[in-house]
Amino acid sequence: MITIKKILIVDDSTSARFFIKGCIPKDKGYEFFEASDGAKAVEAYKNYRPDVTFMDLTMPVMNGFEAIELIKAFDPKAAIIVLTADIQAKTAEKVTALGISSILKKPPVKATVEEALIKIQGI
Amino acid sequence: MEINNDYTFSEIEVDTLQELMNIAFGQASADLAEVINVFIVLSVPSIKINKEESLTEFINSEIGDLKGYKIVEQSYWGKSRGVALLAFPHEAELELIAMFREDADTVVDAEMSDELDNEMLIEIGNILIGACVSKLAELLKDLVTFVPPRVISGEQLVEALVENRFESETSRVILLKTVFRINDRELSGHLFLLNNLDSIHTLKDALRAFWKQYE
Amino acid sequence: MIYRQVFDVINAGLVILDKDLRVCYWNRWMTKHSGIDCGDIVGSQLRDFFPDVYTKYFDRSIKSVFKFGNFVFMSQKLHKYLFKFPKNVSCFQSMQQSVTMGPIRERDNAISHAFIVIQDVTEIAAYDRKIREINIKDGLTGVYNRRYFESRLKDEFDRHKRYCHPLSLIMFDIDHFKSINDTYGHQYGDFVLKKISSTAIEMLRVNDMLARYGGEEFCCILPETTISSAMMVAERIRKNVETQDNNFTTIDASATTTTTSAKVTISLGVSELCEITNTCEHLLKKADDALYTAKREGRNRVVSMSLF
Repeated sequence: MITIKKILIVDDSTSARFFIKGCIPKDKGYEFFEASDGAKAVEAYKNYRPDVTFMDLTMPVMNGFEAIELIKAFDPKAAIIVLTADIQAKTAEKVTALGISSILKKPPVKATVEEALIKIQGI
Repeated sequence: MEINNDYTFSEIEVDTLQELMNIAFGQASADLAEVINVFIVLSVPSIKINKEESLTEFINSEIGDLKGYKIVEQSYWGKSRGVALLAFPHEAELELIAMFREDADTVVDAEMSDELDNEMLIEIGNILIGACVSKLAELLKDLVTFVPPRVISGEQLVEALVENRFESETSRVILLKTVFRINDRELSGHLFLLNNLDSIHTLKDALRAFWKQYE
Repeated sequence: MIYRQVFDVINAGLVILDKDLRVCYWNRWMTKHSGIDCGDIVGSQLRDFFPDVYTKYFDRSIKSVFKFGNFVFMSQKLHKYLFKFPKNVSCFQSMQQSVTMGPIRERDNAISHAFIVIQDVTEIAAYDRKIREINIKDGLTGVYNRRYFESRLKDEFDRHKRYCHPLSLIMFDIDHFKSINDTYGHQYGDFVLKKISSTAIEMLRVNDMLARYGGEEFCCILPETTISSAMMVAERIRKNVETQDNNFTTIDASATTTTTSAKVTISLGVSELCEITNTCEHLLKKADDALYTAKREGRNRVVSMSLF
């Protein structure tokens, strides 16, 4: 069982990060960190050691696939929730193979985001 | 969300619109894969509020020379109004037609083949444009209807834009652009959505409403 | 449904389908042309009454209506019709239709039904076809005219050049046509032009194309054909023309019949697209040069021009 304290949100779009935050319960006292591309995400992960990472897939500099691989290499137990606009089956297969916790489609919806968080906490 | 009421978009408004287009086109791709069995990859869309420079010049600079291009043009009406332009270079057009012809239930008459190619392009364009525009409208809680599309050549574009009152001294447009690739082939085209500036407030309101859901 | 009063008098077919493609509404126009009453078809699967409607294209279209609220515009040029209704107008045996399909939404915007509007465009299509014929065909012989020939030649030339496929051209001309006209009259001259056109057409394949190039000059495009095959085709045409009867019978006012008959021959020139042929004019010029040689060497013969 994991207790979530720190959450890292990775997306190149400011609004997308805002939308994700809006779906996460505000009364739990979570600490948020943000990154705007895959490279910064890996960096932030190493610095802050978040309990959960929300990851977009299409981003400049380094995409989500590579970032997930690097984060997983650094910390195989990393809990990652992918949030993407690319909902074709091929993409889902590819990203699931990387060992992520869940894949959600954009735009984020409160209920499914909460569900994904509960799954990680193993309640 | 910061509110900016004149005819420009704030950085955050552009960012939101871009994110929504991403989502809309992602859903459109998935639906197209399901409905017509065609796998389309749409690039990260870009947005531009076009001011002084001529629209045709802009489109020309985006895709190189418009000569030899076929463009499917389709107007849409909702709370915001605009016109979609789907542009293919000649080779891509031929390949696309060949791809769809396989199941078109039709015998091709050589003496009508040019015209039939255009008809085929219209049908393909109608599906692609319809999927992309409808999804975007849906996210913005708008509902659009479409006028039957038509095919024009790159050279006729200026005329068509004038007809749509997009190319005049005072007009400015919101231009949304994406590049797409089909079935993993080197077959790409451009999709431009030109929204008439009268729709700018509608669009801003819709973006604000979208933000509200997450505040 | 008070709108019914309108739907039943408009001059277009209107069908409303639910998500399972069951008919929910069938207007009077549809009854008139299909012979099926609204009451009989409502509640049934459209497929049960019109299995032919279910093409791949229809399936794709109706799915896109329900799935993303698309409007589908089905063109007569590409699809001819959606519902097969009898109608005889010039070259058509079935009603030609232009069809629009689209979504019908509930108050919450969810798509619950689809509409199909069918317009009868048979007359327009027939007119269109007639205009096209006039534009591309030679009025006397019924083979293609020169203008259309030139545009087709350019297309075929570009296509074959791009894919490096063989393409040949036969150009032929009726020998001593002026003296045929002078001796037997223009009516007989016209008869000979028609007769030779149809003889040549018989020797050609479906994808070949014959055009009247000038007064008594004709030209054939033979796609996917090497010069040696084209020579054989040309020789067959020459031989058939040489041996055919050209019997032309006229009846005058006093009901006496007169039959005119003359031996007619043609000269032919053949050319083929090759690496150094850069333009279709070049290809045409080579066939013309070959034809000229055939004339000079004594007529009633086939000459091919190797391209230098």
